[in-house]
Amino acid sequence: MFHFPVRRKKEIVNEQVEHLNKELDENSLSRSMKSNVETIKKLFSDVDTLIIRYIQNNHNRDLKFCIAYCDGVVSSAIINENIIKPLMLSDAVQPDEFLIDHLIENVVLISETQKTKHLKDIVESITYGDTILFVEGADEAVILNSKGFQTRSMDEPENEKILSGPREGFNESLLQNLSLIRRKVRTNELKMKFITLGRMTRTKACICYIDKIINKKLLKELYRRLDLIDIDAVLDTNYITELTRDSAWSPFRATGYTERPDVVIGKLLEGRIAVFLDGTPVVLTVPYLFIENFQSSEDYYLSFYYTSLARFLRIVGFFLTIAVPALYVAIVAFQQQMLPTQLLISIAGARRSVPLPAAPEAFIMLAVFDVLRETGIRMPSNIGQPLSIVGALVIGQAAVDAKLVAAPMIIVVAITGITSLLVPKMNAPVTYVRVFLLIMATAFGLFGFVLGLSGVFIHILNLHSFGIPQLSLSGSLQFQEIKDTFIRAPWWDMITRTKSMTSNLVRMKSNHGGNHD
Amino acid sequence: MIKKIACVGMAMLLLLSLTGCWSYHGLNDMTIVTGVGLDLDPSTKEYLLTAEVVDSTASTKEAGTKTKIVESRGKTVMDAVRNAKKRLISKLYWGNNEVLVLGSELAKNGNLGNVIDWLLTDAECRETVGIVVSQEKTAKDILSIDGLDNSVVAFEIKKILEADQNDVGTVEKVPLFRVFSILESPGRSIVLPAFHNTKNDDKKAVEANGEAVFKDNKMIGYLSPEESKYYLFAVDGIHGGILTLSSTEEEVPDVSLEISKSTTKSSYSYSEGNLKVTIQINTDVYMDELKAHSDLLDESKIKEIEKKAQAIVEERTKGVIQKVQTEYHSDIFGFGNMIYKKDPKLWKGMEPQWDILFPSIQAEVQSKVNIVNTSFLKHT
Repeated sequence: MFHFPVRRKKEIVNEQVEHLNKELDENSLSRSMKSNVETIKKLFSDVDTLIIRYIQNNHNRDLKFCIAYCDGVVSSAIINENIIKPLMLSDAVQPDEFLIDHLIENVVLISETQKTKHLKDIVESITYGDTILFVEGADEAVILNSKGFQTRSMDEPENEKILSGPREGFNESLLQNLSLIRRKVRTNELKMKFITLGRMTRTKACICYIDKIINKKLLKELYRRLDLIDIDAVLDTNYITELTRDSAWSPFRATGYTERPDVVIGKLLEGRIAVFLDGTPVVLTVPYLFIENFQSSEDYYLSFYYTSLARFLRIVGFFLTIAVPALYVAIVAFQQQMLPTQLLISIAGARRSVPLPAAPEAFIMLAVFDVLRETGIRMPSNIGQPLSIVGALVIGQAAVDAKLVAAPMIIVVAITGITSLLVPKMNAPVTYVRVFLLIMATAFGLFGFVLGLSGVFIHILNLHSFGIPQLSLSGSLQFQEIKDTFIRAPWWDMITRTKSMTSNLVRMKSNHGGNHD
Repeated sequence: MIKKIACVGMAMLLLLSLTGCWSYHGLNDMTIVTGVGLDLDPSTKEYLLTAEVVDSTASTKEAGTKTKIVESRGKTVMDAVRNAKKRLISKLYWGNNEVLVLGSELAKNGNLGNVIDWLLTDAECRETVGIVVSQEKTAKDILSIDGLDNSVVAFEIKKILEADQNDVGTVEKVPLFRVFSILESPGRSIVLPAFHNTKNDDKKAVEANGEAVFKDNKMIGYLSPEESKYYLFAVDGIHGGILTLSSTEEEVPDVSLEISKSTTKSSYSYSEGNLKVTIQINTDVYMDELKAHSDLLDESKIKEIEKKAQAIVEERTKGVIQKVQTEYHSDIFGFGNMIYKKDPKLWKGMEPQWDILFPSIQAEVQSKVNIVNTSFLKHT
């Protein structure tokens, strides 16, 4: 059922990592604090940010402690006030066999503590901003939460700006991101399960869902695929997307991406599952339906009349941006009969004494447009405006005046470019599909164009996201399900959720549906 | 994956051999024909081809589309078309050709069926091309002048053809495919719109001037625009136009009735060798002009005008039918076709003598005119 990519693992890397893990797994702590500290030092040799600090209790000189932490990821205030100070000044403990428990219960002023014997836990905790407390004569260490690293503020995401609606955005801290969700969905049904991904990075990820709404099979499938991930680093959610998607080679999106908490909550409430990853503001939502390419969070915050029109325009824009250059070439170079006579004459006039035939012209102009767009994205914003002026002038005015390019071609490229901005979520696939259709149209005219378009749609119809068809045109389609597709129905009318994703269809009890019949 | 790509690639290669129209020819490599005229050279029996083509060097944004004339001759139409290439850089492109003008010489002595055959069978030509007959000496005389509104005279002719039936009601556009189907259907002759040159503001302009009547494949005469209107009444082809009549005893017409809708039903009866055709015309009109200050709120006055209009329609339609019966002997009304459709057996017997039978048909015209709107302003 699933077309799951078979990844050929590099055996050598595997062995190295396994060796490392084995070493950590097999070694545990001894009763001698000194040897424990030495072990840590050895593990972190050449890591100068590791700080080791010995402490002696003022009341009982036999109580010897040592703390270890990584500089930069901890809060010194917490370590000074809540760890070192009480350890030095407390007279509440004696060096007995319950020492560690007494320390946790009576001395350190840290909310989150954990006893451990394993070096693996210790390494993971130190690198994540925790402080490790070693005690003389104990074969256990205490992990104390002293995290304190800098995070970015929760600004509105640059590429998901909206006119009205919540303006918060995620940042790179997993827990802060989760807090944004937790604060808005105040129910115990909101589940958050942590997993760790990446052999080297040991990145924390959180799977987030609302228990009573989701489809349990989907959750199982997500866990199964996440378990199969075996990679050294997971720096962004896109790693997860590519490693878990159904059709490995498809350019179309298989998971939803967002940096906005309100979008994530909206999707959670429709029965989707969100995957948060530490270190990135981008959150994944699965499954991803094809129609989500045309949806925007703002659709739900503005009047449904306006947003239904916007939806419709985006869908039209999608067709225009993939089809216009191919259609132009097919008609101008093959099926001229399709043109009204006056238009034919004016295009023929414009194409007079232009050196290149229509097809190469289209390829070159599309390439130039993509170059301009790419430079526009990667360039510092203060150069942007001069460049766009130069681009517009050079390509638009000068090229036509110099008879290098026919004026209709400029219009075609302009329509293609502008309409592609209507579907920003499909930037990559749209470019490939456009070029594919153009090649088909150049080779076979309108026949090729129609054949290519059919091919593209067959491909899209075949796409699945975690086993759920991304584009469903089956006879089982129900009226309620299309209310949030081509149009956005008013909220009082969207009574149920999408069937394929959820085990709990009822979004709204129909008799609570506002002041209408 | 590689297997998949190979499969797709092979399918594409197959496409090359499977498709029909995949030749790539750029727009700038073609001479776009807007209208074409055909004449017959009586001495050599060769076809003279006059093509109005777009002059892309002279066409500018300000001046609009300019055209020029390309001439050639050949033993057949196709031969003439190909011979034109001898004096052109690129081939003539027929996909957007709008009209075919037949010279009167060709229409009289040539064979219409043969002439249109090339247009029908060529891949590029449209089946919607309008066919007209030139009342000037040659087809070139019509095509070589500038239009009044549109410098491309072929477009002007096309526009006139398309609108005439609804606004004036004197000619009917007969596209190529209908010409073919009429020529092929039994018991029916064809009429084609006729065009001539006229003076307008001291310049030449083209004008629709009634219909040209064909018998079999040859033209045998014309109907004047007025006659054509009543021909259209007879064949249910009128969608607009003006009826003028006098509401008083005087001769000078003072009433204009604009036709809004008209339906014609024809039927026939056959008994003892007598063929009788009944034509029922039902016309809705608006009263547009009334010179005499009559009281239009008076029902009887309106009835009177309606009666007069009915009489005119009946009389003139009958007149046209009689003229065609006596002068042209050509069944342009499709009476024979009507019989063929309803009673093929009867038609089979009649067909050999149809040329003798047709002039002897008794035609009866019944007209009903309803004034649906008097546009009465105020009683003065």
